Amino acid sequence: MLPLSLAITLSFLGALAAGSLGAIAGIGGGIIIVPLLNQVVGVDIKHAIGTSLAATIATSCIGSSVYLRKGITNLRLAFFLEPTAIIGSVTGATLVGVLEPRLLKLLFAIALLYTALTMIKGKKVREANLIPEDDYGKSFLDGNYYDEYYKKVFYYRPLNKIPALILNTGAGIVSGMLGLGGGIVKVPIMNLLMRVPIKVASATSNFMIGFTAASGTIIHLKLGNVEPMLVAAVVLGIYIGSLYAAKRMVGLNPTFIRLIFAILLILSALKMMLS
Amino acid sequence: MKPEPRHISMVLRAGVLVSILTTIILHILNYLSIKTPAPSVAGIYLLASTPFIALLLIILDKILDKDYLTAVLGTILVLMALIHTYINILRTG
Repeated sequence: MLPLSLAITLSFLGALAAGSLGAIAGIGGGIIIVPLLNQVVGVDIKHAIGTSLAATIATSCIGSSVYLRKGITNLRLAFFLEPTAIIGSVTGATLVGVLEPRLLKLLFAIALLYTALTMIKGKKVREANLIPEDDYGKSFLDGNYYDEYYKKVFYYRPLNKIPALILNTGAGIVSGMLGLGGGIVKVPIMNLLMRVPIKVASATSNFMIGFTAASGTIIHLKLGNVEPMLVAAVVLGIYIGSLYAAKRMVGLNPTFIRLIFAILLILSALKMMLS
Repeated sequence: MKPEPRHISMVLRAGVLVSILTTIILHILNYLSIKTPAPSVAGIYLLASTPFIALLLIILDKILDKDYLTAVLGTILVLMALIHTYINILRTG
């Protein structure tokens, strides 16, 4: 690893770019932060994963604070799905302690390629299972939210509860083992499988990620895989980047940025695989 | 006073801010070789506790709203997280 002061500076600057680009491209921190820490700062893969996971808690808390206030997050849905993700996350984090770093890099490279392909193809969004207002409340996970764009309240009913509950364990394992938030798995589960509106799925996933990451982080802390000062640098970088830099870049074409980002992710994945 | 969503939102932001500041202050104190009772990772433990502190407020909010089902699901989540994490800490030694 580089000298600590240089590592902190690089992590901060990298996270600043990651925060702003991530806000435009619509992807979370972990998928950028782990390669940044591992390949640029020179932190070994296990520490990069632990540090990224701790930083994910902060990004989830900051994001959730906005969605909770606006009432978009479906708390009941989050509480219903999250226990299995926590089991997965703690199991995944425990596995990091026993897996070979080479295998971890390979798994992470696969996650990078998957994200890059998703970005190139564009986000697949499924129509929500909307219900009339009179029908609201007949199922225990029914939810509603006010859509600022359409200026009306939407009522919806999540479907396929049990398969979603089981698949969410996988999201937890991905999170704990690879230091990602798990949003790349949770949002599709809620939107494509449960047919929850995409805005609610994103907001609820953001809220859930905090718990998944927190549970995994405790294990990583115990294993000594977290660099506290790098967490601080990454959190500050992502926060400032997503808050200010993204606003200044609204004139840029998001599709072009997504494509550039996807190419960077593929290159990063190849580098990880080769190393 | 009943916890409102804006209070929970404030707790989440404040938790992140305090934990990051704690981490930076502890690092500076360590750098200056000043001994502190808290370990260098104390800020990160605080960060990991933040979502759960917010969750406890949400549970309280739901109990006061008489939305007992959400409160029970939230309580199950807290208990599962605690038990599962504790078991795995024991297992990792």
